[in-house]
Amino acid sequence: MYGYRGKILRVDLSSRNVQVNNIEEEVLRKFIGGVGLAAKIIYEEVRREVSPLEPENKLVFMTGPLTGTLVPCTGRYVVCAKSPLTNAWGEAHSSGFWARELKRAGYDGIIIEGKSEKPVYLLINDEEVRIESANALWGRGCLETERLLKNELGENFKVACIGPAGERLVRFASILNDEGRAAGRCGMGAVMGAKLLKAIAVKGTKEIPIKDPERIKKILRRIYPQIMSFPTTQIYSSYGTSGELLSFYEYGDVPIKNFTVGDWDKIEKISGEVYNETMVKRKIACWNCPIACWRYVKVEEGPYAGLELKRGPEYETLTSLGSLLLNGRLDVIIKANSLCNHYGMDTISTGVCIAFAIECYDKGIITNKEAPNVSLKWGDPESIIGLIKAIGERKGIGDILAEGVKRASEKFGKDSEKFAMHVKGLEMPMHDPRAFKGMGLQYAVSNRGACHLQGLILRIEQGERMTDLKIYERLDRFKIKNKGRVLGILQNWHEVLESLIICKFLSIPPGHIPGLYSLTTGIPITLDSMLEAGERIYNIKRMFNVNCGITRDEDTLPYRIMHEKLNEGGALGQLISQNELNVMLSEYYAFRGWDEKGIPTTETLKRLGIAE
Amino acid sequence: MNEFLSENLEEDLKEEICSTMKRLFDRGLVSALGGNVSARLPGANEFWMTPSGVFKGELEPDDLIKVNLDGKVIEGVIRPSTETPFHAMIYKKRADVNAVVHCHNPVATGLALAGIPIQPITAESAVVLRKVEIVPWAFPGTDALANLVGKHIDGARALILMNHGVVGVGYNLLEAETIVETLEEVAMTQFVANFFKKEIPLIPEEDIELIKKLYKV
Repeated sequence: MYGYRGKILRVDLSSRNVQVNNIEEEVLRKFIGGVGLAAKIIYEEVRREVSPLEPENKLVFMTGPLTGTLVPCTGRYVVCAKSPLTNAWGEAHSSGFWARELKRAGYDGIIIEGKSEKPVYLLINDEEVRIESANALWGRGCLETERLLKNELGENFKVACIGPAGERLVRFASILNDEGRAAGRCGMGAVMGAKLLKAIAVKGTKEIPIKDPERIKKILRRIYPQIMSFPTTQIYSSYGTSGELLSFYEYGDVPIKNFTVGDWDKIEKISGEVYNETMVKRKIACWNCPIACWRYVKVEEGPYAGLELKRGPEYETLTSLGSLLLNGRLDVIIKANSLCNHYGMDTISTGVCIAFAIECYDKGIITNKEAPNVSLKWGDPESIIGLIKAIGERKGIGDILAEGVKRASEKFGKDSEKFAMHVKGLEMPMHDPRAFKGMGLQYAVSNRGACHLQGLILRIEQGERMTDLKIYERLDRFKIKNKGRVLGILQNWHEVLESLIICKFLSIPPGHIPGLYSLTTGIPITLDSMLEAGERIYNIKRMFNVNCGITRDEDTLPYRIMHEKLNEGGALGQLISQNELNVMLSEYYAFRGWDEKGIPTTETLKRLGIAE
Repeated sequence: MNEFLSENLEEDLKEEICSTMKRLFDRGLVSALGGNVSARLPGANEFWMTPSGVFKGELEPDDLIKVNLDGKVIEGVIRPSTETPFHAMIYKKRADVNAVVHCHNPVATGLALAGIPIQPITAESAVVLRKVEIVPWAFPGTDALANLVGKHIDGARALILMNHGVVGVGYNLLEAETIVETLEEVAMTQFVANFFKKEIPLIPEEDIELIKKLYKV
């Protein structure tokens, strides 16, 4: 087998049994790999009544056929499970070098089942797979855990691990690898913590076989001039994702003060330009990445002087721990990011929960009685740092916020759900859908809840075209027409990218991908077949969600987005009304071959080979 | 046509597409990322297309993609040129055309941008190029552009695509290449003349009339 390893490790932590399962080529053809394969496994193996933090939930780490190969930007993995935030489909993605190491050890993925009696970590050294005690690691932060494991096992091991937040079942706990790269969303770290699995350390020494490496090299050499010329590639290379912060602000897309205002006089202080000039020391790249969007940062002055992060904040973190909280201090953002890395918590969800708590305090929904010994003020470093610690340690009000903003609002009541910014339980990312209405539809229907990455329809709403995908039209960002069809196509394509797995920041035209896949794997495929696989993957996730009770009622948006207009900025006066959302949903469901309740029809499932 | 012969002819055609691209690249009509060439065996319903986004100065036959007249990929590894739809449109409309060359001729495109049409300043420009129409702007790679090209290609050997480049067509690759090269030569001559003098002499009216009669321009 080329590209693929054809093997998945199945580790039952309850029985301490380790198996190696072969994957049939027919399955790979239908589901490609990565998130596609993980979706098939979870759909077939995780029953609807399983609670996310029970041993019966399964945690699936998966690489793709392009992972760790010559094709650029292929250092990524995906980790999937039933999410403790949404009680439905959960997935999170990360990059770096860990995924390539797993492939080199001889595995496409790992399925973690059951629950250990005591804290353990998984050691994979080529064929040698052992479950080891993690007593000495339990309670340690993510970066410290990685360092300790490398000290013990050797620098060649790559480590993915959880921190104290995952151990304490913070519902938005993340999994970190390679000194700060995070599989952040959906609480996959909590699922790992519930299984008492602290880390997976892996070392592989086997070359990944490629069908026609010389031809791939020859093609890539000559397409680099084009792919490096795309605007986003250049911005990400020059500034990291923070390079887009000011342009998103112009659109009214950057959330400020829990999505309540459209302008802010401190926005430039957290811009990519200022960040790169004052904090960034050098660029960092993941495996085989010509873009190098990550930034090594160091705080030179102030109370956090000397603080360094090898993987400094990017756009989502600069805004979720910055503008969302009216925090215009980069040093505070870096400190907050470093604490989230220590505890192993998603910076987006953390920021949204803190913003929610401060607004609750402002409105008198919570008082010093519910939140003693903690400050709750906009833009206040003490509040931000204090709340992150409280959440990571599940202390006081932090224990409630650690449940995620949806559950916290249910607990606090008093109409607080009107400004609890989440979809299906997953906290909103840092793109305000009132600035790009297609993003509203994307958030509403995404399988994992409010997801800014699956579809990225805002690119089309900004004016980009994807002729390979037959997306020619310009979409007005404030209108709703055609958004259902375009989003459906984009989501299908993104399932392909996340199954291969190839980073979305590599602006490689879709038409090149089937060839690179075929030259890697030896399996011929067309763009149409790939898109059909993407559609199959999207639908199998939707069916998992339907089984978990999700239908049209859950495909919705936070009250604030649908009822409160921004009074200033690039999205002045905009909201997404229930009627607008309904129109977009109906168009989207029709394109997908789903019924009006948002359930895939039998014909659709048969056409995609999901149902007999 | 027997299969073996057909296969050899196709391989020869692919070689010729690559050598055409190389000459156009060396002449500065195709740039590192801009321009594309296609050709088909006479009467075929499929054609060979240069790839998209691959450095144009070093194309090899294995890089080419076979597509049908609906633009669907039949054979090949990487993505065909973004402009495949208008190449397909030309083959659909013009049974006499077996080669299409799309270049980014700097001078011809520049003159069009300045609102200056290609004029009959030499017999060659009148005879070889006939009338060079300017196709209004449409976004590259779209069906809209393909439809516009289809609307203007009847009876034309060369077109200028506004804010984009030029198209030359021919019975074979050499003819299509000749068209875009001639177009640039004429455009350059006209540009030089216009630089020094606003009103430049065209070839005499009676000769233009003769050319019109003989060549039905």
